Amino acid sequence: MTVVTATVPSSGCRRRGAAASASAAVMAAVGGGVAPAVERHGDVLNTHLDLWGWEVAAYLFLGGLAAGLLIVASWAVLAGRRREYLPAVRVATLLVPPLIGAGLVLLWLDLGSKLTPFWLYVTLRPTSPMSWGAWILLAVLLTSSLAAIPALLAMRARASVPCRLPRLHRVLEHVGRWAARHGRWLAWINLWLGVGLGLYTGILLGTMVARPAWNSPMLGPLFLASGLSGAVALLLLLRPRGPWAPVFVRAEVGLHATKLALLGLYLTGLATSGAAPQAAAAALVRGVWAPAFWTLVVGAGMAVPLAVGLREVTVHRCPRRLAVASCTLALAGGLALRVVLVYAGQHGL
Amino acid sequence: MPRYGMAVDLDRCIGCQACAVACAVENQVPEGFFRRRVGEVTTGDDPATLRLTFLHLQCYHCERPPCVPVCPTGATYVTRDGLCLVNYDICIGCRACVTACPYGMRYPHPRGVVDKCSLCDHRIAAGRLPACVEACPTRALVFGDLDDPASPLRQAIAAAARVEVDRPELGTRPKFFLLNGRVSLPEARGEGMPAQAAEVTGR
Repeated sequence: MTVVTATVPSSGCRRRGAAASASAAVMAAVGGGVAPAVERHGDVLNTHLDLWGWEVAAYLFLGGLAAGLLIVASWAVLAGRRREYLPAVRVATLLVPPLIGAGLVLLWLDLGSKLTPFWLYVTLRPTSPMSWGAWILLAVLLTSSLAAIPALLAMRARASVPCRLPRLHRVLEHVGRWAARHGRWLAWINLWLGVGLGLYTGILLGTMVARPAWNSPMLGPLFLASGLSGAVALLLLLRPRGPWAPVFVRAEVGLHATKLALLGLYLTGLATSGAAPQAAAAALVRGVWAPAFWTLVVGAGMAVPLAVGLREVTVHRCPRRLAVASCTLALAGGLALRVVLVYAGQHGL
Repeated sequence: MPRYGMAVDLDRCIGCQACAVACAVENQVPEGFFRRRVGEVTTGDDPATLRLTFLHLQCYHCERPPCVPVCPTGATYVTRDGLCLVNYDICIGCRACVTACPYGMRYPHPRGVVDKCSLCDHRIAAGRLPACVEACPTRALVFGDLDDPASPLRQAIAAAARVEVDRPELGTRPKFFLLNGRVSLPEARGEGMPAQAAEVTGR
């Protein structure tokens, strides 16, 4: 039997206490419920655990949501259902650029050096997922804005507000006509960029070998499915009535089932790897993260909306309140998934 | 080209922290942060097995550093001398490298960039030893060229009864060697400790 205690003079960690307690809880989860007075080397070493915080989690959520909306809108165009689904497609198309913009602001807030983010765009580093992400975000912002211009102009025309900036309006009309003419091309590009963005939000974490809870190839597909499901839920919230609703409800059922399956594969992957990934899985399933994981991520985000969706598909009638609650839960669960994974990956090493 | 590395002879280290202080002064490390520190680890629970050992916490200047490929701007790079350095001019402080380092040896500098041990590259360029090596009163710290058989580093490694690197299974190939350790690094880290022991020692 070995007792291990470690001390380091005057640690410079701002969140050291929280990290140590989280780790103790991880140890407790692995070691059978008793938090031992043991400080592991990892806590001593990782003096600065406040690496990626709520900004990154929120950005991953918004990025995934934007990717999902972009995929749904592009799919509707390519499947020839643009006219039929117009209200839903229009909302989806209009929401993507502001969501991406908000994500970029969050990313910028997270940077240590606020004045020099332009360095991201004078370099292209194929080995860095963050570099890929930066370029994908820029491309998505551009192409999704192009696709949104016709919808924006149509909305403006209906509003019948006097035009204060005629010159800008003319330019927008010109670009809008071009975008409408090349709608299918734009939809193809947006579809694949959306898939890329959705996958990337998970791959950013998944490629970190040093973080056992993140280092899984399942995070990319899981985050993509979660983003798509969040997008469909948001559209069902904002535009609940129309020919698209039954299709979206069925899609949502499939997506929740897919998310549950991918989450299961992710946990199985961790549990069948080395000691550190096993501890990470244990921390999620029965450790410090278990309450949030089971109630918010699995329960609210996947199981409950899946059950409501199944009922809706089979019974064909669902009280509006229940549908709203289900969609809200699905969205909140998507955010919880990112928050729990971002923080769980950085603790208990 | 030389291939610089470092080693610590744990038989000689007395945990005096002179290296940590010299490093902080030399590199103007802000208060509360460290590029190099020495952790004390006590293992064993009876007089026969009780041991005090030291963890030398600094960048290992890995030959395959996980922090380099994840950097989105190329600010973290490896020199031809084998030093893993940060170009502070193009570091945007995204902390992907801090997240990627499996040893936790990088820290976010209050200036908004990421900082770490540079093996005192400015001193090496001037033909001097890193500040920590120069300050070590027991000559436990050794610096040198791994490709030169006559270098103090190679000789210290050759003379050591036991040579260890941190988490070799990761394939990062650290260029920081622990010589003559009485307690293995995983043991010092508390890894592989049976759950039962953790429970019994819970105080």
